[in-house]
Amino acid sequence: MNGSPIASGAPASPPSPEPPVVATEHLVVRSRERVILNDVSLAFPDRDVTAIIGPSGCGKTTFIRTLNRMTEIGSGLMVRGRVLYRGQDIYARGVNPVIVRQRIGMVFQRPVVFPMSIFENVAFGLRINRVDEATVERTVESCLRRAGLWTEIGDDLDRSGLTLSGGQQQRLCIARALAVEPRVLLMDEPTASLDPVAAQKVESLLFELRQNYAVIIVTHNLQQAARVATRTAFLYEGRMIEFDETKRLFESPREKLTENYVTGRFG
Amino acid sequence: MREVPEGQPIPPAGPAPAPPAVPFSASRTPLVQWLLSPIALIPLLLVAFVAIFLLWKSQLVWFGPSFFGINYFFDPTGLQPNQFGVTLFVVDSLIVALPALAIAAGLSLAMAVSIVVYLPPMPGRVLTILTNLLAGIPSVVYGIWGYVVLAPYFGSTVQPAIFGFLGWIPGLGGPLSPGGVGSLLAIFILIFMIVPITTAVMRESLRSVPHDLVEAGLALGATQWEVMRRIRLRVARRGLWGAAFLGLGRAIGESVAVAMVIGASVWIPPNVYAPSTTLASFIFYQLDSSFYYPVLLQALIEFSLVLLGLAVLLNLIGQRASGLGTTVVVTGGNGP
Ligand SMILES: Nc1ncnc2c1ncn2[C@@H]1O[C@H](COP(=O)(O)OP(=O)(O)OP(=O)(O)O)[C@@H](O)[C@H]1O
Ligand SMILES: [Mg+2]
Repeated sequence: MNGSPIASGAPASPPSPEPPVVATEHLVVRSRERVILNDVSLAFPDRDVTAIIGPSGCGKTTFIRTLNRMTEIGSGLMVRGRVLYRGQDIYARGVNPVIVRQRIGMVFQRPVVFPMSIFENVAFGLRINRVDEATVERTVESCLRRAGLWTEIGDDLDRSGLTLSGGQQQRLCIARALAVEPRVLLMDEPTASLDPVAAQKVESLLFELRQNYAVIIVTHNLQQAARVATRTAFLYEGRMIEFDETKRLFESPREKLTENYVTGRFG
Repeated sequence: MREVPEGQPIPPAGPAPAPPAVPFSASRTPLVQWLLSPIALIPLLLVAFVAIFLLWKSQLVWFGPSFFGINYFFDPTGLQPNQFGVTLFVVDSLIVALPALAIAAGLSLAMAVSIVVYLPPMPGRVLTILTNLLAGIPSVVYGIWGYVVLAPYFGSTVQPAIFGFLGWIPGLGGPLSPGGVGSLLAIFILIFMIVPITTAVMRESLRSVPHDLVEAGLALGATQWEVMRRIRLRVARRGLWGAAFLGLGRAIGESVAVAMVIGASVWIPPNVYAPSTTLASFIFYQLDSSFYYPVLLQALIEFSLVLLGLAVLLNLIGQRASGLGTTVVVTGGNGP
């Protein structure tokens, strides 16, 4: 895979065997003042980890927030183009954003733990869907297991979630997102506020999650992208510059901008 | 960075850094702070001054045999022994203030919730301005409106209607008060006077819930209502209680408007329609009689002291809970 840059103009997505679970088509996001995302088309495969990288302010957060309609919460941003979830436009008329967010979950940069017990944090999404108590208990346990927290805190679920360490809190947030049974998990720099050990735990969790979910992760950390993501997209000033298999993107980028970025010449 | 000429060894570490030029203990308090600090004492002095004055002036009746009893008796002829019980007035005040607070708090919560999450910004702002406006209306205007406009209507329509539907509830049974003045009308007027403060404090409490928590709830597929119910109301709980206490303080302290519509009967009213009194309104409308009867004046001063104590207490609890006095930091996810 160490060939020379392919001299083709079209930044086509690499072919993937399955149809994408999430895709954007000519996505444009603008604020009152300016265009934040300009014509971004990307397709994300199921059961895989895709990374989004780019310098600060290039629109990474804005991008993944459009993928589950979080942009429309008091942000004043306008979204054009299409975002498809399994072929269906989630911005189409009649689509309920609440349902969209149940299918496409999100984990934030800073862990956001509700001021409730660990159990109730994980059960939150189940309670709003009026799931029966037995199922709630079963799901809470399995989600904590999948988030690698069960062995650490499984016997102390009534403790306030706020008493956990930062890394545990972030994994609690992941468990909480999993409890809603999403197909897609959006993660905006999920390890950026964690110490290296905690970050490592979250990162290794991604290898488990990729078996069952489409994970889309924004990261500032290029090594992290290289470790966890099969594919990586490079955004620059609101435009999608290059989207390729991670190894290829890092080792033989087609675009000069990408090369400058991944070699640390700016950003 | 110092330039280290190439090829030369790095110079050895120098002597320990000099101690800071200004010792850490040096006072750097600016002059203006010294001048302004005493201003913080002004409210304290004012409250203390009023309290001391009241204590001093009321010494005649204070701790009299029936001050904390339920009886109130005043005989201007002096033939009967005068006895003054404050408890009756506190009870009467609560009979009016608590229902008014309950209704006002419900209304305020509904308005605060709508303003914070449901209404678009513009109507929300208009509603805020309108509720604040209610606070700007002088209470004597509420009183005259209640006495002239509302009282006849209450007597002819509102009282019979409430009696008809809810007459089976204790306190809402008959007999009615045909003129319309009485506790019910006072409650109604008080609602207008409480709503601005409770709405403002509730609105700010709900607003101060960290946006992160709200977003995290929505990202889990919760609706705005579910986030309100399970997160916002929960996190803002203290502030909401604080609003209630501030509202109660407001209701208990109101005198003029209540005096004009409550009918001034010193007793425990048999029902909510009957004329009654409150601590604050009683002090207000008895003041002119007390001009002739020094012992009554002593009692009123003493009542004022009790009222002051109640108001200060409720206000302090309310301020503390709602975080008006301090900066509230409601922490959500605390990172490492
Ligand atoms: N609601 C908004 N209204 C106006 N401008 C916004 C809004 N949200 C984001 N922006 C702007 O869009 C640009 C991209 O922001 P975004 O947060 O997506 O960048 P980012 O790539 O995630 O950066 P970082 O790596 O620092 O997190 C920024 O210039 C930001 O100021
Ligand atoms: Mg960001």
